Amino acid sequence: MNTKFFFFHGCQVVFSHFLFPLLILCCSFANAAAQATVNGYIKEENTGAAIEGAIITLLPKDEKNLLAYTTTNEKGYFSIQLNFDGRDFLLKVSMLGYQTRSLELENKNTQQVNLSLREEISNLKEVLIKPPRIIQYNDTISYNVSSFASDQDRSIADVLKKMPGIDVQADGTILYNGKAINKFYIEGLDLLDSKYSLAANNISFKDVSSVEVLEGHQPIKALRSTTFTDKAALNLKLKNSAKGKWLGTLELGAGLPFPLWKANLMAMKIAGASQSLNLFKSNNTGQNISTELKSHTLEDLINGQDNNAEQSNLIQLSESAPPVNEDRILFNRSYLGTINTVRKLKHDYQLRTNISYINDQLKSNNQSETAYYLTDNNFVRIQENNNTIIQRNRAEGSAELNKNTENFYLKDKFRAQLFWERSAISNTGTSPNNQIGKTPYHLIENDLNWLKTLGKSTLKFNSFNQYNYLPQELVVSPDDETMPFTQFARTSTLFSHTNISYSRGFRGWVIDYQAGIKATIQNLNTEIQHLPMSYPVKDSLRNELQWQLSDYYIKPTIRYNAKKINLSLTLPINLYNSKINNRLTEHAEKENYLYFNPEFLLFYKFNPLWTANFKASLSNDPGNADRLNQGFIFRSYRYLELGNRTPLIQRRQSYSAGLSYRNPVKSLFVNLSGIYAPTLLNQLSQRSFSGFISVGEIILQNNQKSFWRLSGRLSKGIDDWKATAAISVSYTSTEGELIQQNKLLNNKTNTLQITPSFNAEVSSWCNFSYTGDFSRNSLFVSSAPTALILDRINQRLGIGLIINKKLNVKAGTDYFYNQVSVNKSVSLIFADIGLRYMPGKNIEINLDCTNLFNKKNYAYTLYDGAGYTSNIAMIRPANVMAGVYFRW
Amino acid sequence: MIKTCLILISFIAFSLCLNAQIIDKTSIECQYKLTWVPDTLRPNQTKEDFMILKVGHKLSEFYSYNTFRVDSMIQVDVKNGMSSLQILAQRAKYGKKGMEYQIYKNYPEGKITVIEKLMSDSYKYEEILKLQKWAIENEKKTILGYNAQKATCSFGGRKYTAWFTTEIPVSTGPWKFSGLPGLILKVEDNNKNYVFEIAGLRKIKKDEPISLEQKEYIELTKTDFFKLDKKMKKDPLAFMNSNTSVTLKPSGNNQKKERPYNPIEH
Repeated sequence: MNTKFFFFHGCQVVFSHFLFPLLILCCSFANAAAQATVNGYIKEENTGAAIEGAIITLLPKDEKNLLAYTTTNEKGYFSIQLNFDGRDFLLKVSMLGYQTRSLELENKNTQQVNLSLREEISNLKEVLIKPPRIIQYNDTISYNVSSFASDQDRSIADVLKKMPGIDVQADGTILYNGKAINKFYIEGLDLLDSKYSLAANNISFKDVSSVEVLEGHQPIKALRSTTFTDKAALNLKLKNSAKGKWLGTLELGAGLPFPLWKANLMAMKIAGASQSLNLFKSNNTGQNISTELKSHTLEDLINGQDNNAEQSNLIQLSESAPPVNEDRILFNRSYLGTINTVRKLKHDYQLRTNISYINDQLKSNNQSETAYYLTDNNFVRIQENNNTIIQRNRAEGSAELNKNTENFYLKDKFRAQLFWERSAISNTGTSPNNQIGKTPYHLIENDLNWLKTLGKSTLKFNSFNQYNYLPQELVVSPDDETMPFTQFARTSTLFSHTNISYSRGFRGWVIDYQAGIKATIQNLNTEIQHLPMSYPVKDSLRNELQWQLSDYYIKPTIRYNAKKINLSLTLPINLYNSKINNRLTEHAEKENYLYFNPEFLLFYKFNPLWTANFKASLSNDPGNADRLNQGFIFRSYRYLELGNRTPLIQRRQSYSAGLSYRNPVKSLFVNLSGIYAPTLLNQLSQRSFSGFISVGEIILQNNQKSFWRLSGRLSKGIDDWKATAAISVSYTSTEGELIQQNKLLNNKTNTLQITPSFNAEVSSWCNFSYTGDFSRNSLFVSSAPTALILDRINQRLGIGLIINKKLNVKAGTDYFYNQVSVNKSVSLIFADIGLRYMPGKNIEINLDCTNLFNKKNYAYTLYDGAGYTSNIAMIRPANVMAGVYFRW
Repeated sequence: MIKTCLILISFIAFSLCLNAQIIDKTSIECQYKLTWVPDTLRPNQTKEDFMILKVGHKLSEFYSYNTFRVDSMIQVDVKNGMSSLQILAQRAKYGKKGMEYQIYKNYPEGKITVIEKLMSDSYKYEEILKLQKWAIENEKKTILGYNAQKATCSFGGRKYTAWFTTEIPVSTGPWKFSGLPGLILKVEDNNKNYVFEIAGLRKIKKDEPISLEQKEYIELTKTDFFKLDKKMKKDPLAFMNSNTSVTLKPSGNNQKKERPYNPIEH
C-alpha cells in the first residue's frame, strides 16, 4: 500500500507535523469500514516534550468496560482502533505522575486527538508492608554429600573424585579446577596441614554432610585483600550426629596367596574446640600406606619455595618406578600409626600436633639392561638382576601454634623427623655383587611467621631454620670373593632464612618490599675404604669440605589486582657470598655473585569465556654442595661421581603462556598452553665407562639445555548420553649436552602424548569409562645415524554395575603395549573384578580379585640422557582378597 | 539439593566489587508474594519468595528481595574483611536466597533483558517486550483497595489469569508480564503453579535508582538458556561438570534421582 510505503520512508520531522494527518486520512478512505480509529500525540504541558508510555484507554460513557487500549510510543504517538456500536465514547489518557485526562469523542471513522498532560504528584494509595522475616536455614538445606555418593564409595575421597571440578590424583593430591588445593579443613579447622590424605582416605563419607569449596582462598586472613590466589580450599562439614563423639572404622581382610592380610583402624573425634584423628594401618596387599602421610605440596603461604632446604640422598640405589600402578608391583609389609590433634586455645590461638610412624618392608625383583651410546652405533651394555629388600622406619612429629585474625597472623611450627632406610640388593648380572645401603635422613626445623596489618600496610617477619643430617653408608660385596668395600658419606646442612617485608596497597596496587638473608652451612664428609683394584680410580677417595653460602637479597614486588587483570612483577637482586673450605687440601675458595632474578606474571580475563595467562622469569641459582666434591662418591656400586670445586651457575629463562576457553552453554572447554625454558650452565657432565663402571665428572664448560612443551586439551559434554569426551595432546622436547667417553654428544628427547578419554552413564545401573594414553618417545643422539623411537600404549576400560541396592560389581581391564627396543615389543592385559555386598548400614563385605590372568612381569624402557634402560619388573600375581568393614 | 548446590556455589561465587550502571529512577515500588510449586507431582508443597518490582519512568526491574538481601549482606561482610570460610560458616545468618533472576522490561527499548545466575556464572538474554496477547474480560474485583479487572493470556506453555488496575497507570507487572492498561496486581496460571500477588506498594519520593550491574555476562539465546537451566535443575551434577574445565569421572554408580523441574516458562 502506498500509505505504508510513505509510512516507512517519510522523513520523520515532516511526517510528524504535516504528513501524518494526511496519511491517516488516506488510510481511512482506504478502509472505509465500521471500525473507528483514533490517532494522536501526547506531550507534556510545560516542556512540550513527547510522553512515552502514556496509557490510552477507550471506554463507554458509563466507564464500565474497557473497549480498547494502547500506549504511546517513544515519540508520543498512538493509534487505536475500536469496534463500537454506541454514539460516542470516552478517551482517557493516564500516565504515572501526570493528571489523567478524559475526552468525549464521537464514534466516527477516524479522528486525531492531540493532548498535553500536566504533571501531578500521584496520589497513589500506598500499602506499606515490612519485608519478610529472614528464612532460617535448617539441616535439610546443606550441601549434601550423599547426592554424589554411591554404594561403591566408602571414604570421602571416593566421593570427592566424583565432585565436578574436583580431582583426586593417584598420590592423593586434591585438585580443584586442575590446581592443587591450598588448605583442607575439617569443620573450619586445619587438623592435618598438608597431610590431608589421612582425612580424605579414612573419613567415611557417611559422616560428612557437605563439602565446601572455597574458591580463591587466602588462608591468611590479614592478606586477603592484598594477595591474589587462584587456589581453592576444601572444608568438610560433618553431620551433627558425627560431631563431638568418637567415630571409628575397622577393616579386616585376608586373602590368597597365603598369607595376605590387611587391617585398618581409625578413630576420630571432631568437637567444637578440638579435633583428633588417629589411625593404625597394616597390609601386605600392595597398598602403599606411606602415601597417606605424603605432604601434598601446599604452597608455603608466606615464602613460596624459598625455604626448600631438603637434600637428596648421596646414595641412590632405587630404580625409577615402572609406568604402571604402584599397587601392581609393590611387594610390601607395612605398618603405620599416626596421632593428630588440633585444639582451639584462648585469644584465637590454635595448637596442632601431628605424630606418625611407619614401618615398611618392600621387596622387588628387577632385571634390566642399561645401554649407553658411545660412538658409531656402539653401546656399553650392563645387565643387572636385582633382588632388593628395603626396610624403612620413619618417625615424624610436628607442633604448630597459630593465630589467624583479620589483622594479625602468627605461626610457629616445629618439626622433627627421623628416617632410617636400609636397602639390600643382591645382584646377579654383569658384575654380581651384594650392596647394602643405609640412607638415614634426620632433620629438625622451626618456621616462624609473623604478620600484622596496619591500615593498608602489612608488615611481615619470617624466620625459617633447619638442620638436617644424613649419615649414609654403602657396603658393596663383590661375588668374586674380593674384600667388601665401604663408603661413608655424611652431609649436614644448617639452613637459616630470615626476612622482613613491608607492603602497602592503594587502589588495587600493592607494593611489597622484602629484604632478607639466607645462610647455608653445608658439610660434606665422605670416605671410600678398601676399594678393589678393578675400579678405575685409585685416589681422591675422600671429601672433607664445608660450604658457606650467604645470600643477601632485596625483593621489591608490585602487584595489581582488578576485575579483568591480575599482574605481578618481582625484581629481586641477590648478592651471593660463597666460601668453600676444603679441609683436605686446606684450600679455601671465595667468590661473590650478583644476580638479578626478575619474574613477571599476568592473568587476563577477556570475558567470562576467554582467559589468558603469561609468565616470564629469569633465575640464577648456585647449585648444591654435593656437586663440589673433589673426591669420588659412589651413588651405587657402578656409578662413581666427582664434582667440581666451582659452584654450578645455572641461568634459567622461562616463558609460558596459556589460553583457555570455557563455554558452559555448549559444554565445551579448550585449553592451550606452551612453555619454553632455555638454561645456560657453566658445568657439563662427563661420563666414561670402564667395564660396567661408569665414572661421572663435572667439568667447567659453558653449555645450554632447553625444554619446551606445547599442550592442549579439549573436552565436550554430550548431554543426551550423560557423557564427557576429552582429548589431551602434548609435545615435549628436551635437549642437552654431555660428554660420553670423551666425546661431546648432543642428546634430544621428543615425546608426543595423546590421551583420549570418554565416560558415560549408560543407564542408572551401569556406567562406563575409558582412558587411553598413546605416546611416542624419540631419542636423538648426535653422531648416531638414526633416532631411537619407542611407542607406548596404555588403555583402561572400566564398567560398574549395580545389581541391587545391596550388591554391586566393578570390573576393569588395563592394556599395556610397550616397545622395549626398536624391534621388540610386549603387550600385557590386566583384569580385575570387585564385589561389594552391604547387608547393613554400617557393615560391608568385599571380595576383590586382582590380576585375574596372573601376569608375572612387566617390561618397559626408559631414556636417560644419551642412553636407555630396559627393565623387566616383577608384578603381583593374581590376588584374591576377602574383607569386612565396620563403622561406628 | 539443586537449591543447595545453587546456594552453595552462589554463596562462594559472589563478586567482590559492584559496578552498577544507573538506567532509570524508580517512581513506584511494588512488592509481590510469589507462591510456586517446585514439583508438579506434589502440588500441595509450595515455596514462597518475596519479589520487588521497581517501576521507573521508562522501564521496570523485577527481582527477588531475598536474593538481593543475602547478596548485599555478604557484600557488606566481604567489604568488612570476612573470609569466604567465615561467611559459609555462618550462612544461617544471611537466610535463604530466592529466585536468581533479574528482569528488566523495556530495557533496551522494546525488549526485555533477563539476567540469571546458574551456579557461579551470570547469564543474560534478551527477548521482545510485548510477549503476551491479552484478552480483557469484564470480571472485576478489589485487590489491595484497587479496582482490578480480569485479563487472560497464554504464554510460555501456560494459561494465565491476570488482574490489573487502571488506577495505577503503568503498563507493567511482575515477572515478564506487561502490556495491560494498568499495573498487574495479581497473575496466576491455571494450575496455580506460579502465583504472583501484590502485597505492598509505595511511592518513591527520593531518587532511588534502577541499576544494572556492569559485569561480564555470558550472553546467549533464550533457548540455550532454557536448555542450561533445565540441565542444572534436573541434574546439577552434570551441569557442574560441564561448568568446570575438569572432567568428572563417574567412577561409582550414581544412583541419581531425576530432580523435579517445573519451570515457569518452556
